[in-house]
Amino acid sequence: MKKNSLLLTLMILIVSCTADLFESEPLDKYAETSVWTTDSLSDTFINEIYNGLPHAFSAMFSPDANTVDWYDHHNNCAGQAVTKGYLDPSNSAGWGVTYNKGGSFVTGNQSGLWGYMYKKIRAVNTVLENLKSEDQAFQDSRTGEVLTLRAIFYSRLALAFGEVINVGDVRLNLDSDYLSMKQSPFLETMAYINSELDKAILLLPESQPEKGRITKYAAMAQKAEMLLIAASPRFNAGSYNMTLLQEAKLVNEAIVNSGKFSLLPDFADASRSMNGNTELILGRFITAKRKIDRDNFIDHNLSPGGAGGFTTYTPTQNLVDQFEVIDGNNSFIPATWSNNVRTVTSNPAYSEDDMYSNRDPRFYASIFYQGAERNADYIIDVSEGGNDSRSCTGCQWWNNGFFGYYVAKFVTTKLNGNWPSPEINDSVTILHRLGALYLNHAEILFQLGDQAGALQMVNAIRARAGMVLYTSIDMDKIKHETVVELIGEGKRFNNLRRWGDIGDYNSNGEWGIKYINNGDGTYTSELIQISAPSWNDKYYWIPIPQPEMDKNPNLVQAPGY
Amino acid sequence: MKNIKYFTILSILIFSHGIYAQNSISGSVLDENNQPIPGVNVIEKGTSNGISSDFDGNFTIQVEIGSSLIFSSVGFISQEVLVSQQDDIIIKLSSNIVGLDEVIVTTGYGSQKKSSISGSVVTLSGENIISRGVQNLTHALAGSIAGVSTEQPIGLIGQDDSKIYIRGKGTLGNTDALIVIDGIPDRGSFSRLNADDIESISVLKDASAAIYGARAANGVVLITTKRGKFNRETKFSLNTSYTVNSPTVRTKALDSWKWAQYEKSQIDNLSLGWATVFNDEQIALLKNGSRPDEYANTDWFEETVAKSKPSSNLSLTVEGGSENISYFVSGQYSKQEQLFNGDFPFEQYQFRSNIDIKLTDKLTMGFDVLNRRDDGLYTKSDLYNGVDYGRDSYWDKLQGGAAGFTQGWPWLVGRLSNGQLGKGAQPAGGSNPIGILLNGSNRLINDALNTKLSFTYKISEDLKLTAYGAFDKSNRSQKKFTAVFDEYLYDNSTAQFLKSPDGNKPVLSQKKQNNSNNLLNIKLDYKKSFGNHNVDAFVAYEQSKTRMDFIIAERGGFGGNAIPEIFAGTAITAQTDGRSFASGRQNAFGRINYDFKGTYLATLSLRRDGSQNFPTDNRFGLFPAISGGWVISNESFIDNTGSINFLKLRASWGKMGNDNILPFQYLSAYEFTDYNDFAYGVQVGYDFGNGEEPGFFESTVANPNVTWETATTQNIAIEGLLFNNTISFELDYFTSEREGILIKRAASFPEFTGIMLPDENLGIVQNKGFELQLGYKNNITNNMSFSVNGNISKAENKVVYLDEPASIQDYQKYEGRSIDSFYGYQSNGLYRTEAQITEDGYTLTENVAPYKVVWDQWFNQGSIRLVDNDGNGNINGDDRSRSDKSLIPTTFYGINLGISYKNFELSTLIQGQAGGYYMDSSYAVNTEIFDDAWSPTNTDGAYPIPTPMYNVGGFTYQSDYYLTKSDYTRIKNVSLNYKLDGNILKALNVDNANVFVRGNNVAILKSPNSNIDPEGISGAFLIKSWQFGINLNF
Repeated sequence: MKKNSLLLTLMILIVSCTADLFESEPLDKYAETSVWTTDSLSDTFINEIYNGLPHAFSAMFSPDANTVDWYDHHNNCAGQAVTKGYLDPSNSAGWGVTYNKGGSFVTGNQSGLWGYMYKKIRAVNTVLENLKSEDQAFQDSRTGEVLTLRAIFYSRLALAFGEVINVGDVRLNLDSDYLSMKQSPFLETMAYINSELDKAILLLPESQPEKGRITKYAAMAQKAEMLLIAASPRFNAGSYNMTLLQEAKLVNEAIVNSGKFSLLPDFADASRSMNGNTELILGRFITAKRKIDRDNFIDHNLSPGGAGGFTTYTPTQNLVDQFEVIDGNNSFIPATWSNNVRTVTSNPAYSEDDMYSNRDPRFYASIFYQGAERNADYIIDVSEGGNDSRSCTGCQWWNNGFFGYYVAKFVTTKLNGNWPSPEINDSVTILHRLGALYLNHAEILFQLGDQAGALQMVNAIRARAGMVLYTSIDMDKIKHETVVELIGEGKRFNNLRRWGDIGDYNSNGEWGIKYINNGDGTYTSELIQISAPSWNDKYYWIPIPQPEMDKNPNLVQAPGY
Repeated sequence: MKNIKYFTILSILIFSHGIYAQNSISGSVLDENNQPIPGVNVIEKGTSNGISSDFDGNFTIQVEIGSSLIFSSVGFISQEVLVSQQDDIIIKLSSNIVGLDEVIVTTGYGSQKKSSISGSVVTLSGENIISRGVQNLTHALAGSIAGVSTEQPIGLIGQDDSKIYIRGKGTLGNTDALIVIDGIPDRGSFSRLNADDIESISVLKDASAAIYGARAANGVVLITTKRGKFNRETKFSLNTSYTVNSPTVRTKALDSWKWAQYEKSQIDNLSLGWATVFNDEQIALLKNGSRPDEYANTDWFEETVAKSKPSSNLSLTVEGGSENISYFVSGQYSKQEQLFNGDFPFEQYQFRSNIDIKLTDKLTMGFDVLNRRDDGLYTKSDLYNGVDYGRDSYWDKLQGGAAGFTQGWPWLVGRLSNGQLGKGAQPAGGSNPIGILLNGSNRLINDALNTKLSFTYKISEDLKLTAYGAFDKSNRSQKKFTAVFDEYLYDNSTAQFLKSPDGNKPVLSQKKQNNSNNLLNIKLDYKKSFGNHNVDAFVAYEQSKTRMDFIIAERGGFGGNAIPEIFAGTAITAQTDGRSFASGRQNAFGRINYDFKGTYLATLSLRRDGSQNFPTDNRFGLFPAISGGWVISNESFIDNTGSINFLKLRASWGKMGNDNILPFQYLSAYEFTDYNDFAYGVQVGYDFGNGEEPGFFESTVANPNVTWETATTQNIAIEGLLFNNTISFELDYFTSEREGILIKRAASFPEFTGIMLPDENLGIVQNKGFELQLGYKNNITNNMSFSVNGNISKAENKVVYLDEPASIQDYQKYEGRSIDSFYGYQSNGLYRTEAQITEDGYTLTENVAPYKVVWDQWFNQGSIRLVDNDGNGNINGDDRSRSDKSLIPTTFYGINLGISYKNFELSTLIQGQAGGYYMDSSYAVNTEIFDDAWSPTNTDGAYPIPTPMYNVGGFTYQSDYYLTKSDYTRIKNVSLNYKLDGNILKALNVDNANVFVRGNNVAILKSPNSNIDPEGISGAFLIKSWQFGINLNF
């Protein structure tokens, strides 16, 4: 009797206790409402935005791979997607990166440069809308950081697509009137970037407790570089915009005069040293403490397959030829290129059979070549059948390059390259460093008429590198210095483009070197042409992805596509 | 008795009910097998006084002595009985139709006789499942039921559940059918249940599924387990079998020298002077096999996949019942071996106990328990992370995964002549597949405890209250130890075997996962006849709550293979993860079955469902269904003793939902970063120079309007029995429209908004088709009978709306084409002549010998001729088109032949599919491709000229050139049974014994590719099995 009534009561109780049937928040992620109430969770959101900064073996190299100096091996020869004409609106994902031609646009979630940068921009707008800390220093610093980040994201967009949409501070939602939005001209976007950086500079502290965080000087360095680009001839009907240069000069001087930064004594340290790197203004770190993750591991990405690497990008003969040969108190460029013809400088100090002797010390710090010592027990062998060649056996030949050269800069020498590696080394991707700033500054001073100042800047760089100093300066010398000093720092394509030099330069074809083992300890070498890109002015920009064009009829495609 | 008084009073209070007592005649109605028949109309002749028998076939009616009672029920011959005394009377009805009477169909929350059902429901009996001899019950559905198609992924035991599609694919979203075991959804797959426990499997195909409301849109599969019966003597049944398993096909890889030659041709054909991996001398060495320790021709399939492996099964069932207790109890132990060379046992134990106890005359209690475990050793696969992929990278290597060069790598040495392992592909040791099989371990244990307590209270003859609660728990634990082992290289110059560098360290990963599922159901049944009007109805309330959580721990840096326990790894390499998922549901529903004289049938159901996946305002939805039937053969104008024995028309309409989406999309959600960013790079937080710090990103923007995907389904059918019940047929035609399919607005919503799109109720898909089931059954002689049952079904879907921007070209439109229609480049044969290339407007560059190449496009003679759909003079992504060829077959069929002679019974099932295509992996070079590739000397070659897969812009044009029809026909099953029931057995107290042989996946009659199993969607082999066994009943 009682049992039955008990049973029934129990049932009724269970049924009436339905309030907790439905969870109000997920248990495997955070609901937005719970994030912005504490500084530490807000900060977690801001941390992620930093991932939009370019990193060494993707975003830094991939525009440069559209010059004949670099080859993008990781994308299976598609690296020069732009300049080989592979890139069109139907597959445009970013510099040197195409959507798989077999892929699908219709249902796929695109995340090319265009989409990725705008996601990050939205994240900044989310912070601006929601961050309300009681700690004013925290509030100011983080606001300044995200403003700087957003400016960098816009610069990545504008320098890729030319005319881009400026969404302002609005955090768009599903009901937003996105169809009414229009693109801004390139220089307008650059001006917006500079005004945003000005806001950031006022908010940011001079130094941060963490070395990878954006400081006032990082924002200033970004601004100076943006001003120089905006002032460059290609974007100003062939001549420099002196007003912008003047402004850039002042910003650079403020950074230099702050006394916070100084050139490291050793060139190689500037790209490898993590701690005490007094030259670094803004870098992206990948430290040993990090979870081992092959895709963020510089050594692994840039090393040849023979050493267990990926060979993401390789230098070409065209680049190698630009490293000067030192001849006593003089130096000279060993070979020059013009219209696909290579002219070797006749000089007793240089021989084609002994190509790698007496070169600019930065050559040895930047490039692995046939016979180079990678580390104590690893000698680079690109000859046929060699470990680092396409024809090695019992090795990952498909991860070896075609050109006979590999990147040495950034790669920490103690690593044997095997993957998975028992160890991971600290490494850094350079976004802004004093050495690069000197060369930009040299250009600015030269254009503003201060030749002595320009010479001083370039010589400071050459002196540190161990090179013969110049006694006079010209634009060619400044340009040349940027090539060998700034390898892998993401400047090459941009520089050639803003100077308007890219078309001529890329008409030289893309060359590599092939070694044949004679079996008696000697090798025979032969230059080989790997590809013959031709230049078209549409390559100045990459096309906006076609699906994006389809969605918004107001969008105007980059010229030529 | 006293105990239930309050219960009764309460019930009476709730359901006002009158009781009459006058000249009461009681009795029960039984069928030929002494099974009670519920719902028999008992009518006093010449009056409207009538009732119907209750669930146990019992009835009580008030009549005068001397009057006549008429007993009638659909499917039975009516009987008239003169009431002569007041004693209990027992009426035996015999069936009037063969084939339909026996079938009681589970319809979800109830059951009905097949003859009086108006929805499209098909039931497979337990015996049917058993006779298939499958080791995974999901495999038993293939070919058996019209409108149900299955897709078996792989022959990896424990990971080989077939995907079940009911009436094909009707949506772009989740297509999983709802699986309900003994009235409880979310009990997981039924694949590993003991076949001997299964009473029946029913499939609700049309609006009859609507009683499951929000989860019914993809159809419902109902599994009912066996129960004992009261007043029945104890019966034991012992089943034991031994099975020999082998791969259905043995994949034959290309000889190593051909591989090398093909690779070389690819590079040579680029004419860029690049070095090739193998030169002619090395290719010759591969071909002549003179130095096998360096230049091998390894058949990796042969080296790693076993010729055959055994499995065994032992199962005991006990059923019976006393007056007040009935029981079905079973135990099973089975052991299978994975089809790999090495020791990979998969063991399974389970006990089931389904007990019913009559507590009082009116109150019955049921208590069901299932406790099962499977415990298997797998290869070192990717079972580990969240999802069980069921295949591993090594498997990919064997099967030719995404990239062709991984297909086996036949030039690598498996075993050296001194018995040591050859060097795997990685520079460091430990990747030789033979070594992977022999070292380390990957153990996965699944435990499940399902319990169900139910009470049935018979309030009156017409009214029954049932309540049941289920409490299920399941645990899953996995421990994967990736060990290291030594590999060797032979150095010809020194004639020595050298150990290859050992850079790897062992890694141990462990995962523990707990699931729990609570469900409560309360249901009130009402069943009554008013003269010729019969009503069978219920209302019910159900709620459930499920919770899952897991924790993962991993360490690497093990010093050796000796102690595979977490502590023995290094803390610095430790990784952990863990999270929970909880969800709740709340539903109220009811159904009325009405019939008039068993001739005019109608069913109406309604369900109100609440799902946590949607915001409070959109959380509850209403799902109605209605169906009707007309048993024409009951009409007087049909003589149902003649050529038409039974004929029924039926039609149904219903609305159902699909809520199978990521929950909480109505909230803006932030997740920790762990995704592939633009281009490459897995982002896991951000490193400011002190190691990574965690990072959030907004994984979805809130869609406050997210709600159900709804399916509106119509079905019309005719079924019948002809010519003395020898021929049966059932023809269904259906249409279904899915609206509000949850998809992302990616096609029209610009990316510059930066929004991570949530699912929105946008898509519309139409699905229609027919199903035909035809049967013939006859006794040729007294000793011999013969039957054929065939089924064929066709379902075609069409995307109606997908939010495609207006500017998309017609040839690219998804709308108007099938869900799985191929999207890619359109091909028009190969370029066989230079003229064809110039005809298409391309300029050949002369200076690239030996072939002329179109630089930008890298076309040359022998390349696939792609169609320039947009006519812009070159081939780019805009030329891709959506083909009318679908990757999913449209037509499925099965033919079951059965013959019995005396005590022998032989049956065979032939099964197949048609109307679909598959991508014949264009990268996996096989002998056919090698032998018949285009070359200047073989200009009629069927396959393109070998060029690197990255020949164009780094990417292969994925064209329809390689789309191949996936039609196949196979002998799915053969079963031979011999029944012994002689005197010797009687003397041993054994009622009967069966000796059987059952074959599964016996032979492939027609296949598009002899190198793969046509049914294995990933191109993997499936298992062919021959089972030998004995079944004793005593």
